[in-house]
Amino acid sequence: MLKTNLAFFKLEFNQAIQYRASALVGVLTQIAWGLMYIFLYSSFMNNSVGSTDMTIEQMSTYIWLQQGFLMLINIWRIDPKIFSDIKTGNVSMQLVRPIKLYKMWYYSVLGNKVARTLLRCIPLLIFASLPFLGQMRFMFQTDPFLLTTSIVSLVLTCLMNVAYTLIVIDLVFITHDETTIRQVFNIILQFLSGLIIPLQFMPEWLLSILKFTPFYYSTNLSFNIYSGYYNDPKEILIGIGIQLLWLIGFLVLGNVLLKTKMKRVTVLGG
Amino acid sequence: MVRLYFKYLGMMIKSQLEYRKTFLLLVCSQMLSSFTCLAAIFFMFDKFGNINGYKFEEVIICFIVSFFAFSIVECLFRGLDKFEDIISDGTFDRILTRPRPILFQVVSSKIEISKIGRMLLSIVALIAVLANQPQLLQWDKLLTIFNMILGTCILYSSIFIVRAGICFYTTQGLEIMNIFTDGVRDLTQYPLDIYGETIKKIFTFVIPAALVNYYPFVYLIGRDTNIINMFCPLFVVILLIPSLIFWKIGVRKYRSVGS
Repeated sequence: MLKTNLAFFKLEFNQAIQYRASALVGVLTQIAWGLMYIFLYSSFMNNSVGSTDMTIEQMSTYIWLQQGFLMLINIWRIDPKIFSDIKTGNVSMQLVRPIKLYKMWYYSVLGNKVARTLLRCIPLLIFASLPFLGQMRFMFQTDPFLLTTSIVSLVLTCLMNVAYTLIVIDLVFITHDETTIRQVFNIILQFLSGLIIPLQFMPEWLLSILKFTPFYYSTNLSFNIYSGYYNDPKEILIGIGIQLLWLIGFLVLGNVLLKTKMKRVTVLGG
Repeated sequence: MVRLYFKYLGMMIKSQLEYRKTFLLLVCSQMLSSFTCLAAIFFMFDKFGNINGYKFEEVIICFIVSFFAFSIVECLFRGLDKFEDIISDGTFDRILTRPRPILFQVVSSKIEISKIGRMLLSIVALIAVLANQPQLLQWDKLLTIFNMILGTCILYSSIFIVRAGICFYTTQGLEIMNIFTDGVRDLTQYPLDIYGETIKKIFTFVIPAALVNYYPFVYLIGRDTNIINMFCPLFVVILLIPSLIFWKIGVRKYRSVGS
């Protein structure tokens, strides 16, 4: 069973890893993007009356990580093949196969995301750690505890994100309305998990609400452990625990949604 | 030609309104997306108070102008935005056989009415800003805002034309061109001098975004009363010349790919 699912992972991975030239161009775009935001936020942090407890180095590292792992956390740029399968009715081909649909989709999305991320994050982070960027460069975390926990948290973030994507796919499967659902879920994810502005720049009242949502425990947690902004070991371990709970919640929700749909499947197309 | 354009426009509106619920949902999600951007800028000022001495009430004008103009261009010039589709499915061959200007046909082939969500939100925000700041309700300030919007539209359209022109060589859209469309849109949400002197220079002389953003903006908030700042957004019209030449060369180079 696992072998079949890994095959789907490999299939998508090998397909996505082909687009090297386009990934290189993407890296250039993202470097420009990252620099723009770092300039903007450091201007805010240096030339204003208010202040934040984040340092410029931590903010820059956060932005570079966000750019480097954009393909992992963005649900807009996922391989649209699943969506077109649903639209054209090809999904019925998958339904007759003797495998679980949820797992197959999960591993395909995961493979696609991991391949795209690997292509982009390595060149981007190499550029970002060049010394000429000064304060604005991507810094290395030398503390072994913070490094390990941030990697664990990043893996969980990735799995959580794929599970979130699967919920979106389920809803598209149920409602057959692709654009709106993808757009709305993408906006919610981007804004609440700190991809438009880092959560640390948001007002306190909003943060205290967000602590009860999964969004607080995704990229915000893993990136900020790495940058050293979160450095209390107890807080970090609790955070990772909550992350794990949300991951399970997402997986269950995705499975339940798909099961209810499976009771009465309407297939589009012919 | 104007009549033909309105006929196209009417057709697009009718066809998109056929799916009324989808259309409404799309407009709402567009508004939600613009709203989060507005909230983000509000939160930043809530936290930091000001930036380079600019207040929220001042910077928000830049934001609205940038958003409003982008939504207009995105709505009306969708054909250029998605030009790689027009090339790759062979629609462009069909366009070439018709006795009407090519660029006109490309532009009128796709009009995305659902982008109106972003436009509506910008209009509401603009009215709110004007209502709260009576010092802006003078003819010269209002004219400056109008010039800024007009200039930004022209700037984006020429970037869109160049971006579409590149498709003649690559047949595929290039992600890197997003720096010049979405990137310029995001950059010009703030007065350009906050990014530092180098960036301001690049965006004055290479891509003249500062002409529609920084210079009229300082006039608007009363930091510089030189009358030339008021009209400098209109100078971006010059940018249309090289981009149209680039487009013309591209059309001559074009080789069919579709069937």
